[in-house]
Amino acid sequence: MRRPRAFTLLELMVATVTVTMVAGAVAGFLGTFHRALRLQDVRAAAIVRTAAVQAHVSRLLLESRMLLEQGQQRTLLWLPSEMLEDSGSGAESAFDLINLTAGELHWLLFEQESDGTWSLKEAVVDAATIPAGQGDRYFSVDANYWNSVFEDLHAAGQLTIFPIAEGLAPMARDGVVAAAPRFTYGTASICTNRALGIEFAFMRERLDDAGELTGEEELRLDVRLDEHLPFPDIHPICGGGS
Amino acid sequence: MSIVRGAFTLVECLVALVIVAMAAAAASTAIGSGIAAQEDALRITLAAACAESRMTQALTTDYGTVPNLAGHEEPGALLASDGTAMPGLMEEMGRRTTVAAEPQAIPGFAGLVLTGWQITVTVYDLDEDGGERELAVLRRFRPETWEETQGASP
Repeated sequence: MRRPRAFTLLELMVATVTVTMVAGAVAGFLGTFHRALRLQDVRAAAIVRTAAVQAHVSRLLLESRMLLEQGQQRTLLWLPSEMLEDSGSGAESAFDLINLTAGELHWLLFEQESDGTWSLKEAVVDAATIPAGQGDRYFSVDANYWNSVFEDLHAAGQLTIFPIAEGLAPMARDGVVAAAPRFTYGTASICTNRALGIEFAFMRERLDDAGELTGEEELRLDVRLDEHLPFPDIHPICGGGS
Repeated sequence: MSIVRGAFTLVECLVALVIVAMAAAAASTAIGSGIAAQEDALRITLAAACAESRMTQALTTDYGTVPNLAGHEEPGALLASDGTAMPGLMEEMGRRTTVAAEPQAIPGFAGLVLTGWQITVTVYDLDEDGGERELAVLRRFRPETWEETQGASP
């Protein structure tokens, strides 16, 4: 009976090298495949979130009549519930009265999270927390006044704050990264401004093989959005009309 | 009686390798196409923002000065509504703005004609051959308001 011949050392070595090369090629291909899919996910998220921010802000501005506060990280949109021509002017007129429980004030704000990323959020007054008879505020063009209204409501827990977009970063322009995402305005005066600019970026860091962040940018998408007030109502206090 | 077990022949191994290579190539092509399509979607999204930015300027500037916005901005020369440069991918886009005086008749209101500007903004980028590739077109009508006919801002 013929005895089966065993593999020679050379055959085993060739087989080992071949298997290793094939395994390496497969692993490389799978790695590339995985990175490509991840990049697709990141890009898809950036597209969807950019569109979501634009749609959300556009809708708010469509209903807004003025921007009452114009800060770099916070802006206040005024959505009065009455028409200017119905209310007249003067300290006691309905147009001057802003009731906190009527949903007329909407803040947009950029806030930095504990992980260093930024979020674009909207804050509205939680009407249920405003005691009866304490909701009246009167129109003012004083930015400090509106800042104090926000700070007081925030400190008292009377605001509902929800995110519009998370995981944001400051925008880069000509290779220089800004300190923070920000709002810009057509003019510095709330009486004449009709335009709101929003600058931010989506930035994702590359992961190493262990799934740890490497500090290198995998994707950076710098976004500049410009929106305007289609139906502004300049308050009589500014010397304008409807 | 001994059983003879046949190993794979060289041809079988080569056929298997070709099949695996073809499958890998197909997967790579699919992924590549997906990434290219997403890149286009990204550019179209940003182009729409570039067009909206110009439209913001056209709808917020003084009525009489709207025609001054007509013109062509080359890639790299795009400005936001506050005069700052557009960032990143937006910087690679060009923009054309046309403004035409086109009175609009209102259906259902015989004889009512609104005067105003028909504003068209087209945003494009350049393909590998340097040709223009249209990404977004925005058209809006800005009517002349009663206040504007009196010389006041809207």
